[in-house]
Amino acid sequence: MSIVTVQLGQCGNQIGQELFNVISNDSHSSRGQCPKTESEAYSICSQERFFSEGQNGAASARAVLVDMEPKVISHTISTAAKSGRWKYGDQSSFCQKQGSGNNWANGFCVHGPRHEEDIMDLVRREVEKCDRLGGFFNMMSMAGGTGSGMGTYITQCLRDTYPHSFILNQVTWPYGTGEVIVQNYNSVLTLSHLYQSSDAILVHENDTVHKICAQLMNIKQISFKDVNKVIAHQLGSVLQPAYTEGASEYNRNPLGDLMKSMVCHPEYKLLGLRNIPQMSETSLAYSVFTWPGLLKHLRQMLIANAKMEEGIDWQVRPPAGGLPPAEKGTHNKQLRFNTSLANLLILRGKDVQSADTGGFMDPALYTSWLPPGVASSTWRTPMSFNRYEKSATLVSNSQFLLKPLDGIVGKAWNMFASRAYVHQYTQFGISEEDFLDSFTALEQIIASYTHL
Amino acid sequence: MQREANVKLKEVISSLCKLLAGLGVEAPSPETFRRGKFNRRDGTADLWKLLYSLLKPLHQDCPCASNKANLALQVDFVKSVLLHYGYGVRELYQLPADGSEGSRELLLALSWLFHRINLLEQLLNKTRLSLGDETTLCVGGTPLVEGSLGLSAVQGGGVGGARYLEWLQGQLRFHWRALHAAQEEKAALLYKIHTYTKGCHSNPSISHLSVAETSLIKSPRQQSRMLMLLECEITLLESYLEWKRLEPLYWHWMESVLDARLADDSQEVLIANTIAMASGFKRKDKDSCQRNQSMKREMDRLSKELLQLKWGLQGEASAKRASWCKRVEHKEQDIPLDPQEFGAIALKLHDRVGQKLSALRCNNVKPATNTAYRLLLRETTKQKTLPVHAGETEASQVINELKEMESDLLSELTKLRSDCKDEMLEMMAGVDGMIFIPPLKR
Repeated sequence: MSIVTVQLGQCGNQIGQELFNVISNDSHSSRGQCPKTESEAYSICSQERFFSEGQNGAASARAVLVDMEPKVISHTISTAAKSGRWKYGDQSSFCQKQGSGNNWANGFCVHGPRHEEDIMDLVRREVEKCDRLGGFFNMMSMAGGTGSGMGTYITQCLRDTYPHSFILNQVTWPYGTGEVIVQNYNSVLTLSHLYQSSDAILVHENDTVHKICAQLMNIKQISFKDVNKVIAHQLGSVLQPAYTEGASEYNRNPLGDLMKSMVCHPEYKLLGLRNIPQMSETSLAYSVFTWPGLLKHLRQMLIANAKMEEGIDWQVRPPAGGLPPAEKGTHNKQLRFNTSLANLLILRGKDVQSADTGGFMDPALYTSWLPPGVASSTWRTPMSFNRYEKSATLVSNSQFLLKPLDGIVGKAWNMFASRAYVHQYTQFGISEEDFLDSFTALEQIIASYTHL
Repeated sequence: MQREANVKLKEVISSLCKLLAGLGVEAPSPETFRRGKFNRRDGTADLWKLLYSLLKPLHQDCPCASNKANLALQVDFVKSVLLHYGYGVRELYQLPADGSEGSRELLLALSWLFHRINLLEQLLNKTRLSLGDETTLCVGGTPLVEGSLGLSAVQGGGVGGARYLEWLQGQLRFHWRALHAAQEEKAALLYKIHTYTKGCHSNPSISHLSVAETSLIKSPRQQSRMLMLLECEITLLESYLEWKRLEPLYWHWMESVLDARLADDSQEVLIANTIAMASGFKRKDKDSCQRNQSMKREMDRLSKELLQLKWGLQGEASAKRASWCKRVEHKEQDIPLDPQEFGAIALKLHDRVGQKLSALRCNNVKPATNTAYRLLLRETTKQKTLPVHAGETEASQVINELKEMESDLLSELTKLRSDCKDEMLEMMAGVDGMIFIPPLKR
């Protein structure tokens, strides 16, 4: 079952290229401790999922690259070809001469409709190459114009053309002190519109990943490439093959399984990602991990809403049972406790069968109306991922993103109250009413998550 | 003469037992049948078991069917299925649940089933070997509504509640999508096989191989197994033919069984029973089958609604007619008496009315049909409309019909949605301090 990746805008294209790199390296690397059959099954599954057979047997990524400027795309394609193991298809990119100028309305109302047919043509060609379409994986950033504006429009088109497919949007949140002045407007408009057409929105925050690079990986001069590598590692650990509970074959429907466990309720679609361990390559050689240790850290990260391994607040505890739901909200807020709706644990590496995930089945972690048996799921594979002997990823539909979301909406509202820069949007077709609708939609989402 | 008749009878019954054995059903000995005529108690349990194993394959989804070898449960199951088919003999339902009495009744019920629902033919159909690619087509019908289930489970907080239901519905939707994708993949692969093996089949009207046939070519071991299965089926069909040849004798014998029964009962009971059998009245006896009960409830509800609808329509129609007559009287003064103009106006009116009526096309609910079809890839025929033989139809035709159904249902859904929205707006208007926020427009 194959996933078609749509890389939108500068950010989407760069991260996408790193992601395919990680996946390609991972499926080709030899793993000493696993039996050959296991290794082969893993490789075959992963190759079928992300690559198609190009001419001369070279692996061709199942991807469509979209950007308004030609520079990023050509760089992406050439970097990929240099790897020697895989490349992008010859006819799978779309670009124009001039960008969207960080204007969401330009991307959504002008560029989107104008180039819809060409882009959907490229997508259709990729879909036809698949034996079975496993869904779409759209990668974009929220701050710019092309990725966010046109990306949202393309997601809508995908939903209209393939109404029964699974659509997962990976969205990169900009730095809090980002360079683009109107990034909060773009973010608000993107999220509110994506909620309609996408099935799930997987979020990466630039601030968080930057901190991971600085503190955990000890990188002195952090470039975008380092940030993208970390994000690609995290995404790869979610999308690579794994066994769902009780399965004897690698899951052939990764996006579907993800959605089934995480985003069944239409009001709760925001997913956060935590992956441990993350460290520099030099430290990796000298580190030993145990599953109990990793899972304990991950659980506390979830409860205390920590973004990474360091600086976890171990004081935060789940509330004792017996509190009526109405009081629970304020009680949890006092404790800074993060209530989850659903959690998915993905464990990769040696001795994975022995890992005990009972800590995540605690009903105190979850909201009252979903039983923990339904809310918590685990995927495992004995194959190690990307040179980490053991690695655990947590995909969580919880109150992780409540504060950042609130922050973005607050800032955007302050700007909107004085109608700053709004004329840039109205001139391309987004009216003030559209802004108000988007704000209302996001307030609704914030309210839903607050009362979890 | 008597002995000859007996010998013939034995032959008939043994052929029946052979056929039943071939169908995989545990058949009682011919002695049991003979004893049943005289309403002997021994062998009654065997007859109950026979009926159970014959009826179970046809009613797999009835909740009464159980796998346990509990005779009481089997007796219940047989009674409920007979009720479902409308068997009206009261004595059968009054037979004790431990299955100790009534072998003659059971014989009569068995023969009734043979005739009424073609029991043997249905079972033969089920065990048929087929090498083609099959698909089932479910068209029409509305699902039986089981009443308001689950709404009582919707409460505020706690595990469960409306949000949990929404979650479950979302999960169901995702499962459905995965199934849909799998179906599409299956269809694509099937198409590949059909196109690649064009011209390989011995039967020129079929011309391509199916999946089963292609896998047979690949493995010789499967071929010998398939050969064995086919030979078994041939023996089964041969025993069926033998039975068919001797069937008239069976019915003669059944008449004698019926005579024996009627002779045993007293006169009034006889009349009551014959009336019962003839009219097939609704059973008021205790019937534990859920499905039958829900069907009964549904039918009562529908007949009540139909009556109400009829009265309502009559009232509406007479009211409308009265008001129309008045309006026509007014208009008549405006209409010119020139015959040509009058004719043109009348024609226009006729057209408009015709259009309005066709827009009100009633969605006649077709009964649900669930037929299995064999898939064949063929060139499109030159004729525009392929005459639909019994059991043969073109995929494009089916697609068109389904598309029509889909658009009807979609328009009904949008109408229901807008009605619901209006209702909510009305309710919101009455509540102070609340704003109704619809989802984001697309």
